[in-house]
Amino acid sequence: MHGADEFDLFLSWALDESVPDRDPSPRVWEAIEARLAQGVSSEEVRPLLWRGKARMWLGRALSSIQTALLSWRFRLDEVGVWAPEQYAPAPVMISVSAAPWPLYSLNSQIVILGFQTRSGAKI
Amino acid sequence: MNQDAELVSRIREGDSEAFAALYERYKKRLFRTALAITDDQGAAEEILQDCFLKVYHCLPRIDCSTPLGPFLHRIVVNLSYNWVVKRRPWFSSLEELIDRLVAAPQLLPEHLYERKELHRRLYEAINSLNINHRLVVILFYLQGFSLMEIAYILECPVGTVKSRLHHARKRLKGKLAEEKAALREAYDLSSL
Repeated sequence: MHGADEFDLFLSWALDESVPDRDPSPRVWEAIEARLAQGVSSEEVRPLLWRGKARMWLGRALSSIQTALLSWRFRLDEVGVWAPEQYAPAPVMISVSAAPWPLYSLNSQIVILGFQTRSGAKI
Repeated sequence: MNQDAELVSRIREGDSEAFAALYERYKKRLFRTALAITDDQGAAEEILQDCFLKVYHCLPRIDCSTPLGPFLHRIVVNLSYNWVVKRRPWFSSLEELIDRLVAAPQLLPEHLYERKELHRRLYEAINSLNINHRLVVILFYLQGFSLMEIAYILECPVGTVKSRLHHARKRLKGKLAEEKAALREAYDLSSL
């Protein structure tokens, strides 16, 4: 260490003494090999924590909303669009879209991007 | 062609043994850096694993004309940084409490206990620095990287690295004045 004084030497020595200098467990390499054998990256195998949480929270929230709205004869189709039951059309069809990215970026608060009445008028 | 470049070239051609060789070459140093930043063995192992998976997937973009060490450290430091900032303080305190309860001092010989206690104080002093200062201290004092290399790893100007190092050093000097004397005594360090 060029131009190092006594304190620099002390810090280097103390850190070197304090941080274990050992091999990682063999299971690290085993896990790397296993993942490479599957042909997937780390992100694909283990989603980031916040994404997982957001997905779980969104699932729960939508599930609750769906349950509530079913009693109003609405249903949630596969792409997340609210539509009235066919056998008993509601007076107004409400179309709600919730995009994932704004949901995440706004701290998991539901963002309702727009309403659409049955006649097609957008709110 | 340097050894790193040769390994990368072989990995690109599908040689899995070359990838294993690259891992063997860097695992210990990278693991130590992750361990120093996170102070958590499980996290450090996970970070090492993620680092090599990332390396494997970005092989075509690796610049073989420069040493691979700083590049790999950039990945490890980024992963470690993310781990540290996501970690909740209350959880960390709980872990520390458990560590202290588990490491019953009476079970250790007195001199070992003293050393352990001094290491703990050193860690506390380093951990009291903000994460950016801590990273610079670890990369400079533990891994011996140059200011230029640290600037590359942290993706910031050399002047920023110098400034962080200066402030971190000043703060540690104040905090570790007592510890330095105690360590000198415990380790019988006449040279320090």
